[in-house]
Amino acid sequence: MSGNGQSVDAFTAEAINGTYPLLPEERKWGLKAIITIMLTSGLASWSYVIGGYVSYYLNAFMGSIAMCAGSLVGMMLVIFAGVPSSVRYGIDIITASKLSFGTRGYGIPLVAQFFSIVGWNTVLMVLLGQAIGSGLYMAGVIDAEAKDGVARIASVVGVFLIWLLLKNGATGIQNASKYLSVLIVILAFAVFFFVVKQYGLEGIRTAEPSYADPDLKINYVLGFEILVGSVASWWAYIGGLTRMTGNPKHAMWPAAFCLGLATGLVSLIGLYTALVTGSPYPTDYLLTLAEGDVGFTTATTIFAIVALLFLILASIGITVVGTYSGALGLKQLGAIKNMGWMKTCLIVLGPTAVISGGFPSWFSDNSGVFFALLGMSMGPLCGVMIADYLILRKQNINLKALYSESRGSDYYFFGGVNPASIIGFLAGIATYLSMLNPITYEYHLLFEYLSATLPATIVAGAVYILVTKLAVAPRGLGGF
Amino acid sequence: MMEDNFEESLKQRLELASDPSYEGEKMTRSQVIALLVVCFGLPMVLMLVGWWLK
Repeated sequence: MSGNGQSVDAFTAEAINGTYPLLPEERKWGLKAIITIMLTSGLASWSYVIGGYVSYYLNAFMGSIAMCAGSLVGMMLVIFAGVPSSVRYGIDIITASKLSFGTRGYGIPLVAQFFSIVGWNTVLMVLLGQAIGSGLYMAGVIDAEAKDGVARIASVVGVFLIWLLLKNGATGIQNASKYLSVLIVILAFAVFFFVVKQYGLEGIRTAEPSYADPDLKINYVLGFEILVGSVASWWAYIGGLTRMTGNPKHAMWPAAFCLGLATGLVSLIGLYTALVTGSPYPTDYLLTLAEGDVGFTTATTIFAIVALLFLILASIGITVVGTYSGALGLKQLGAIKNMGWMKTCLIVLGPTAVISGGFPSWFSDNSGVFFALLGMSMGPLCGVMIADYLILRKQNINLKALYSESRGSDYYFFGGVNPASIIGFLAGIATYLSMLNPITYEYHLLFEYLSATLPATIVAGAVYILVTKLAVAPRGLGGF
Repeated sequence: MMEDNFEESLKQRLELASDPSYEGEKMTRSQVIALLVVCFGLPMVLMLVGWWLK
């Protein structure tokens, strides 16, 4: 039975159960298991889109460096924010955020997690639609004019299919995701092989970015920033993975290299390919590669169709897993707690169906805005959580109080909300906006030296500490 | 039935998990420093070298 006396379905029970701390016997993942799971998660098809976007600003050499550096820095923020608490207490990231945001204020991180998952799901579903449209075009089933319409329909059908797949949970797909990530690696190598064969290493090296600012320094920092922001979105997923071990070493290094750096490395394929083909979208550059100088041949068409098939399968697998995580997160909200599992999944998938079916080009053209918004929200969230758990609480918490909504609970703060975290979070966002406009990519002040997500994280954490010490802790609130 | 015992099982789980002997390890100062070096120091050096070699 749920809290208000209504019965809960099996998945709702699983979801609520999933927010409770894992017991030692359930936290048996060793280093090898963690590496495997993280690597299979890190090798996601959205990386191609990230790399494609960086190709607007940087050439292959500068892009490679900025992207590898950005992916490590973005992951560092996520690790400091999510790994210590999940490893020590076996809790997920949303539950951990109650420590700083309060037993009701955690709605803010929950909303950020929701939008991050919806955004990535949409990236993947648009990709899936484009892949099906391009595949049918190459196979001669449809003509060029019908490609866009078919892609939209395919995206919506894909979302519906994913919703049906979730009827039985995500366990099967999660198990299959390790094989899907192998497809991503094969695809990456195959695409790289074709690019090198067609354009040569020299062609990749000398290809110029299409929308670069005249100031190389700005482009360099933008490339770095895009990776910091997009990799920081692993925040939404990290706790669910790292709470499966009780050893920080077994969590932090695999996270840094298998989630963070892996995202950066797969993105490089997107960067190189987009630079030489002139399109940041994997489906477009697969078409360009298949067409080559001599038009479609049987071999190149087969290669491209198989590659598109890989892309479709991988996109479905990752979207199922993402939707499952998003629905589990939503289940923590009072209003949704007792809603049926399939209805909750519909809330997560609905926006993706509308955008990928109605405005796919608008979304693809503005994927940079999505990456920037991720940095703008995830950076300050990480800053507040790092300051709270690592610096102020010194990694000690009252676990029972995390699950109590009573007035006297340590994390009830003011009516269940901690104003210090709200002020810190807003200060972080203001800092980001003072550095970079996420919509227009107009930069200000010290962006070329400091980037945007990094200072936003630091300011959010510093303001959180200041307000906590001045106004929250002296009142005996927060269990500090 | 699972549903009837649901609230009770959550309470039991929380009770067990709150036992200090069940807690995992803290992140040590040396681990924090190592992570800062690898995930912040190294990327910054890489960025500077990249800029120098551009």
